[in-house]
Amino acid sequence: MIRFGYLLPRVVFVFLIYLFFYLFFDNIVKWSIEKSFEAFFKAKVDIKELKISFLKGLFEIRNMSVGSSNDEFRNIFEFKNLRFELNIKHLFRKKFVVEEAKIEGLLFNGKRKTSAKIKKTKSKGKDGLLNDYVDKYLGNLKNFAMERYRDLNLKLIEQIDLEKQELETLKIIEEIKNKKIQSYKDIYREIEEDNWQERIRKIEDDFKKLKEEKDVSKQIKLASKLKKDLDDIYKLLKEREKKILNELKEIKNYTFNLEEAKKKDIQRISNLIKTPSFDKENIVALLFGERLYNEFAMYSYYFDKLLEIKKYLPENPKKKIFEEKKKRGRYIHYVVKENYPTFLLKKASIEGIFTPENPISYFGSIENLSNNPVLYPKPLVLNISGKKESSSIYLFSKIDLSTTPLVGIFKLDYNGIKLSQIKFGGKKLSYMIDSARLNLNLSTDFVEDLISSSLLMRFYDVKSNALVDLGQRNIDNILKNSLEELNSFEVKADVKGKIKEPSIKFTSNIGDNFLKKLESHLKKDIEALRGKIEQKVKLEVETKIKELNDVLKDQEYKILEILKANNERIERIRQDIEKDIKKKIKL
Amino acid sequence: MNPIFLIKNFIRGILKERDSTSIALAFSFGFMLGLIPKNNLTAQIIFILAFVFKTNVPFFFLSTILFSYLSPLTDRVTDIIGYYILTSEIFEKIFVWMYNAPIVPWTDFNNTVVMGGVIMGVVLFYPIYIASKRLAERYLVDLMKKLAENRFIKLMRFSWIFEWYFKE
Repeated sequence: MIRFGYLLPRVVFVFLIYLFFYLFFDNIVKWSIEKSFEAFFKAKVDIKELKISFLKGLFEIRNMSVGSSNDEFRNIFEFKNLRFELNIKHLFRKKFVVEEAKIEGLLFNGKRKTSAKIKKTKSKGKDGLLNDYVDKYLGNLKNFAMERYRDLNLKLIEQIDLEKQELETLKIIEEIKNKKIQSYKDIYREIEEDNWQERIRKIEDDFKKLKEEKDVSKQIKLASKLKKDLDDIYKLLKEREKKILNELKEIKNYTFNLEEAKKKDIQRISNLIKTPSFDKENIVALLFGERLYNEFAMYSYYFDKLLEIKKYLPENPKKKIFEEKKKRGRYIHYVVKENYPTFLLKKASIEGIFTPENPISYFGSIENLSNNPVLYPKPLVLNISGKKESSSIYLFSKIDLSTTPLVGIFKLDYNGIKLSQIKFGGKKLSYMIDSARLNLNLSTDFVEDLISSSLLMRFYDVKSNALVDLGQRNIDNILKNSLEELNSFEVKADVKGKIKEPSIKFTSNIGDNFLKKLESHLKKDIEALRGKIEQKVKLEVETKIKELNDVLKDQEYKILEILKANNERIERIRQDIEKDIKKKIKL
Repeated sequence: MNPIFLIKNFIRGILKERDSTSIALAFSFGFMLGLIPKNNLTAQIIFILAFVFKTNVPFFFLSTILFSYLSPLTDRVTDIIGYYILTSEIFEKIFVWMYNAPIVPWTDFNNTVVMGGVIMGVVLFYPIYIASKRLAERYLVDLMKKLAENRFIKLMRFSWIFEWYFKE
């Protein structure tokens, strides 16, 4: 009844399949992992050995390295051993679930003996998330910064046109002059209002009448009245004269703090002296912009991939139902006790040495790494810490991919980093740090595609040399010296906005030294110009004061002349009248 | 395995087969397989079972094709049967266990047509076996004779290719 002739070949076939899996399957999986990682990281990936044991549920990778697309002789990361146990039960449900994994010897930024470059494959779209933005930014940055730098000119201290400057002191003096003139005018008016001329004319008329009077008694009467009037008018005249002389005295005195006013004017004009300014931020952007932007572009590329994982689930869950309706029959679904995504790593412990240059031993863990976070709604957590002598690293990241919007934080404190032979900048302006230490603090918060990040880098114990060839020899030398003198400095970058087009602002104190040196170089010219301003102000003020004094003197003289004239006239009349009266009386 | 070899065995299977048991088995398995969708592990298991037993291969394929064409009609029945069984409270625990077990879900047992088709196939397996065996015994010999007298077959038989190729 049983067809052994049929069964035997099938058994042999199954055995051959087992043999195939035993001999070749590992290599096939190894090849597929290498290719998929190469597609993601865009650099060479090498795996020395891979072992899978379905019977034991064991998966082991030895000596894996993932190259860097930015630096062909460096690895992004490499490790000695990755080992985990597969849950066979889930494997039969086509789910790759790892309860616990262990990574040993995880090293970042290690050196490679061979190049990590791979042949460029045709990509469907643009590979770099920020390539266009970075190019545009760097292009604009360089153009803008270079223009500002070219504007710097050691002789370009803004020349102040002293002729056109209005001095406050002169204005004050002019005001005083006007006031005084007005006061003199008031005195003139006073003199006119007193009708001295009319009074004197009346006395002269009365004197005429006296002369014509024949009656002696009437003459005597008229004469005594005339004398009285004359005495009165003389008395009044004298009183008025006294008052006017007092007023003149008062007008002559003017007080104001001339020295204080001159000082203020000199200071005000001196402040108009402008030394060439250069936006400090541009120096930082020229030196550090490109490198920081490229690093940012790389991380935003990985972030974009992370966002893609979120899109894994079909957007319209009803799609599946429509698909099922096309098939024969209906599917009855039961309760699934453990519904996992197709790939899930619950926890992996990591240990290794951070980088060859900074061999900090660290321990850490990755938790809840999956390709379908909605099915396993626990946040992806990365936690690494380590310390060695004066260096330490602490990295913490928590990203919740299952929520909408995606929320995450990333914190990195990496202190005491040893730097050597690090170059910043470009061809015409470059800053080569021969050796230094760096404290790096990075804090990033993101909500979906909105990012807010702050990076602070403190360089200290810096030994460096700079190359500056921006077309202005003197200033180039100043900049070069100022950079090479630096022993420590800070660079801060703030990133805000949408991850595809963020605004990045640089601040640093690296430009302070440069500006100080620039100012000290220009000091002599500035002092000379200040001297000129002082002289000019002094001259102008003295001239104006002399003018004022002249005016006052002139006005006073005129008034005194009028008073004198009046006095003389009255005196003459008085004398004539007295003479005449005496003559009459003798007769 | 070249196609001519397969065709040769297929024709031999039809012309030279005299065993009504194997033909009957072929029809029974063909019926069961024809009822259900083919893209699941259940169909593969039935397929393998059919070959484990001495089933007439050509008749197995022919009956599978025949009953597959009837599936639009049989699906209405198998769907009802399958739905009743799958939603029955008596079997719920078993089905939950099966749903969460490894590999078992690949059988599509939770599809109403598959479940109904398997049940109907199992229930009707023996009746179909008996009926087709009797049919084979009564009509098969006559059929073979008629086929053998067919002009084309005769021509082929007299052809030296036929003789050389179909030589035992």
